[in-house]
Amino acid sequence: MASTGDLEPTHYPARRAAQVALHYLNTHHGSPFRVFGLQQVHKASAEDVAAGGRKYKLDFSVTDWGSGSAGPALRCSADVLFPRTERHSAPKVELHCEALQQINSTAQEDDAFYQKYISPDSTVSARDIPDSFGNMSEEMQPFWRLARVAASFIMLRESSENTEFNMAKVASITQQESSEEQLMLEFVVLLHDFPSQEIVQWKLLASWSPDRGVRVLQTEWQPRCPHATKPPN
Amino acid sequence: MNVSLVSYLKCLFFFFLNRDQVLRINAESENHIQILKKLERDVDSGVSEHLVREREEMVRNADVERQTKSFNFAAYHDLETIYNFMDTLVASHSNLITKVNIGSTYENRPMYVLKFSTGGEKKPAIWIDAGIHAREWISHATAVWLADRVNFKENRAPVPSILSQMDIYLMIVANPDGYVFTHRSPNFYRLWRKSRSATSNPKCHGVDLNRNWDAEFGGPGASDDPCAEDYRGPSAQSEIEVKNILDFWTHAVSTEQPVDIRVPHSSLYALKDFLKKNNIPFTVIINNVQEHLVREREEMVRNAKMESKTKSFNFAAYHDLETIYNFMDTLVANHSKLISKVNIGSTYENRSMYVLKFSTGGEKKPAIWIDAGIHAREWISHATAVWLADRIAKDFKENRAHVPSILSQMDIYLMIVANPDGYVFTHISSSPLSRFWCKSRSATSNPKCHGVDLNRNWDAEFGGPGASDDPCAEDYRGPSAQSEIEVKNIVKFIMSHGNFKSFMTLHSYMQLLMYPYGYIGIDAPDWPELHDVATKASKALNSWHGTVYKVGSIFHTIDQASGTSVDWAYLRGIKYSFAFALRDTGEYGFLLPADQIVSTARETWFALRYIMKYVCDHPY
Repeated sequence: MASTGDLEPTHYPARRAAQVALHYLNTHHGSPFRVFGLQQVHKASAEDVAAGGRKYKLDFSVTDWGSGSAGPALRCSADVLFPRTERHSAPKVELHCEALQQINSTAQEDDAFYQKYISPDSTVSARDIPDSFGNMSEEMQPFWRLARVAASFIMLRESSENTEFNMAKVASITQQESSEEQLMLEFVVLLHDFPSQEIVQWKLLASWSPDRGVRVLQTEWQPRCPHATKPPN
Repeated sequence: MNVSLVSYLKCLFFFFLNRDQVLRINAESENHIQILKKLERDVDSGVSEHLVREREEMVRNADVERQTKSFNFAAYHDLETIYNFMDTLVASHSNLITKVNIGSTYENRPMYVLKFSTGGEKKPAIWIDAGIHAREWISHATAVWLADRVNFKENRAPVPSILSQMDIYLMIVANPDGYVFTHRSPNFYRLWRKSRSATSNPKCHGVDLNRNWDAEFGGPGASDDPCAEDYRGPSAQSEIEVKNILDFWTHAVSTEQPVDIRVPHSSLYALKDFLKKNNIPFTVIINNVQEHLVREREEMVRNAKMESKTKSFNFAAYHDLETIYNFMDTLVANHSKLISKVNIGSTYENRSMYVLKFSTGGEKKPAIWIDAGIHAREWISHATAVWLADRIAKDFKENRAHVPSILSQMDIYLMIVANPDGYVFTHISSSPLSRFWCKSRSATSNPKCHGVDLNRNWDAEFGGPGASDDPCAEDYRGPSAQSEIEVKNIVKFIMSHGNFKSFMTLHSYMQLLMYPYGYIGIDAPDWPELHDVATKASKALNSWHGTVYKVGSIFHTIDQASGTSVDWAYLRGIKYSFAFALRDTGEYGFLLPADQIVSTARETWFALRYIMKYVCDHPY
């Protein structure tokens, strides 16, 4: 059913592949003060490859959500390979963005944030970021971005040509005891898949420091009692 | 002054202010002033109790305004609400504003000062306080507004230059104990002024905080009697709060300034006789204090109900179903010649489904249909539709193009909440997942799973790919086409009307403007025209704020989908059928912050207005 050759940039096949590239970009370059979002796809094409996979070639632009709509757009190109295997396996991404090193460094904010929360007394704990009305305190924003970056690992891993993931909400954040000078955070995130419209819940444990960036150490899919009104015990 | 008059005046054993008056006394000589000062001390002007009971309105208002984004500055608020407002303000401007706790009150409430500072060590500073007198509510309310206004975010002169050189300290409630006391019910001590400290007299509380400062403390112009309203306190700064209040609503210090006193009804004639006998001129400035207070209370109630009136309805906030339904009623009441509310049937849980009909008259004029909220969690769609309703009414009233010409030829039907049951469910706070409820709330063949995707339940290639048979799935199509009462009601209404020329539905998110088909990938017969209209509409949308929408068929921009409303309308011959997916593209997704509502609604209006004008100009 999928077409080979040039793809319409505004249609969903190109957009879904670009979103996968975005997840990859965020796992590598996301931080408490930087999360990238897709601005638009300029050009896209796809072809079947040997061993039954499908490779997308993309030319697209991204923006840093932290800079708002006024921020500069970065031009990127990516190859996204969706393997066609019996059991699902993660897509493979090769990505190159112009001027990635030249965008304003967030080192100062990263360090200040790190120093504030690495202390042994720090026990950050929060729920519902943002709340039902989209509100989020400024203090919580870096944590939300960290959750979004950590969730990108899961979203990247779970993506296929039939999915398009975003993070709907951070259900909870619980700071764990720091380890090896890394901030340790346990998140419960709600992911939204656009094609099926399903909300999927994941619990994950992630570490972060300005030097090492985000690492995801454990992930655990959270089953939902189907559409129950009470949260599962 | 004779003893009997004093005892007359001290008689205050009834607790109503009914037929009390406020007299304005214009002292003409030093002698008059001395007489009045003595009178002031002798009069037992303690507080009368009110039986006012309209605080539920304020409480409800307080619940709604938990965030400054939807904070109602045009209402009086209790202490807790003001303190929450402070926290939210600080949270939203944490690099400019901090909250300083400068100590506790007599009743152990924290006293907060908002510090506006761009940094530096002990910059020269400005102090502003309000509310040292508990009953002077306008002062607290003004200070709340000022706190919001003093904000250099928008770089409006001269605030940034002031803040670059100085700090501003703003204390909104200088007398929290007193302020809380003025809110007490059922005995509504609305006229309490002082602090609430215990005094040497067990029957009398409080010190006039504006006589307690160390500035010629003890001199004339304050009282040593704990029961007096200008009781100075036992010593300078004895009051933690250190602020003072005057008993008279203004205090005479010279012949230039008049004195206002509230006189209990029982003392009225005696006092008037007394003043006349001493040749002291006076006028009645409030004829009936109780009435005046009742009116003031009613004013407050009206202010608290402000959200239900469209003139001050807060469009920059999300509202629950009841509030939206009240809004509809008010809109209809304010525009009764143009707008009527049509009940097109009930939902599964027996709620009414309403459509607003905008019409300049005539029988079954060609019509435009717009619905929102068919997917419960897409809150920006309901919020946009609310704003649209008000905008269409306003544009008609103010004769702004193109609404009057559109409405001269066509009717507009706007359904703000197409899925009331689902919308109510998204407001349940017991589960973090309920906010993301999408479907209807009907029982299904699986007792563990409820609801049908109302945008897969239409009779348009029902059963094809692009929907699910699993009752637990988000895109569950339902057991049969139009099995859902909500869909059936809309279908019945549109079919029996028979003259709709355009059908448009609002969703979120992803910023897309789509046309048929959803069920199949081939181009609809009118594809070139629909694509052209949608493209131009998206350009109009973009002109407001730069928001970029993608244009295409449902099938190509989202995915194959069967049983959709847009396909149904198109297959029934309603050529100009479009679906909008509003902001954003995934950053907040369904949880779009309320401060984007108006901007989203306005850009959407630009697109809708373009399409409606086009439909109007291309009859078929």
